[in-house]
Amino acid sequence: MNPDVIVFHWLNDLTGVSPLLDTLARYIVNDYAIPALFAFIVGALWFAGSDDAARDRFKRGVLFTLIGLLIANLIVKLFWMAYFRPRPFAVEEGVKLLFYRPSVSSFPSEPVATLAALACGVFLFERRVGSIMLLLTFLFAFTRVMAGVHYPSDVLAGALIGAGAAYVPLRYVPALHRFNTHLIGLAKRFGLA
Amino acid sequence: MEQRFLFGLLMWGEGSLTPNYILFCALGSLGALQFVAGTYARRDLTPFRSPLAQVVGAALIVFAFVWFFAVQPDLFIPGLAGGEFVVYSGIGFLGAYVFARILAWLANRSAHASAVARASADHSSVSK
Repeated sequence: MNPDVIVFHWLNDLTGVSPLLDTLARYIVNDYAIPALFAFIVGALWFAGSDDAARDRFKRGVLFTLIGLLIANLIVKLFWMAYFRPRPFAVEEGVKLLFYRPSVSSFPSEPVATLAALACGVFLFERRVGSIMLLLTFLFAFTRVMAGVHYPSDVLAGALIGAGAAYVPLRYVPALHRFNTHLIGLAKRFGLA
Repeated sequence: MEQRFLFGLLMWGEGSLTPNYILFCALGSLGALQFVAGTYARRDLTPFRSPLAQVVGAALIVFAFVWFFAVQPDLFIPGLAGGEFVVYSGIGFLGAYVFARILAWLANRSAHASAVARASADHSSVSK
């Protein structure tokens, strides 16, 4: 048997073990809780920093995080155009669902790619907050598999896409640094910094 | 229930999901802004002093989550998607930012006015 499917069943079998665990998993895995929390954090970090140099560093970090988010979503959409993988509940026997039935391709996981791009993007300029976000992303990915909507390889691929999309532009696209300087100047002019 | 769309593009969702989501984002963002303003002593974003701003910020974030999950029972069914999340979160964040700036400006203005009044009162008592 495919190890991906074996691990999926191990994790999915945790569903229904305890009503408390199921409720907790529902609150973690839904579309609103962790993504919204990450949005609050990234938005607020735009205004962080105790002096001008630190504020500038935070703003650059936030802009690179948003660029990573955009790239991660584009890569996922390209994958979806080329390849459709059915969801585990549509293929496997005896899957226990904690979630509604998404209709888009299972591979790669878009929400995990989104959260990983945000968490890795923040981790690259603010380690403490980024570590907490990475931990929450891991928890979210784990719960997506447990809830029966993804295979482990879907969330792993999503996490790699998100991490790559956050890291590569920051390190290897110097033009983006100039672009971000321009954007920060514009934001300051409009009183948004 | 019938799905409604904003400008024919963005899904407005069923019932009060979208207005509640925007309010949730505004409250959570306001909390995050107060927390950051308290941490980095940004008096242009908060009317409170440092530790109080952090406490108020954390409390607002917790309140936003508790309120949203309490009033919105249909969170575990298909609802808003990628583009809608970005736009509605952005609206909520901008609202919170403008509110925080106004609040901080009013607080700083009244603090400045009372400092001026105190100074002039001291000055007149010394002159007498």
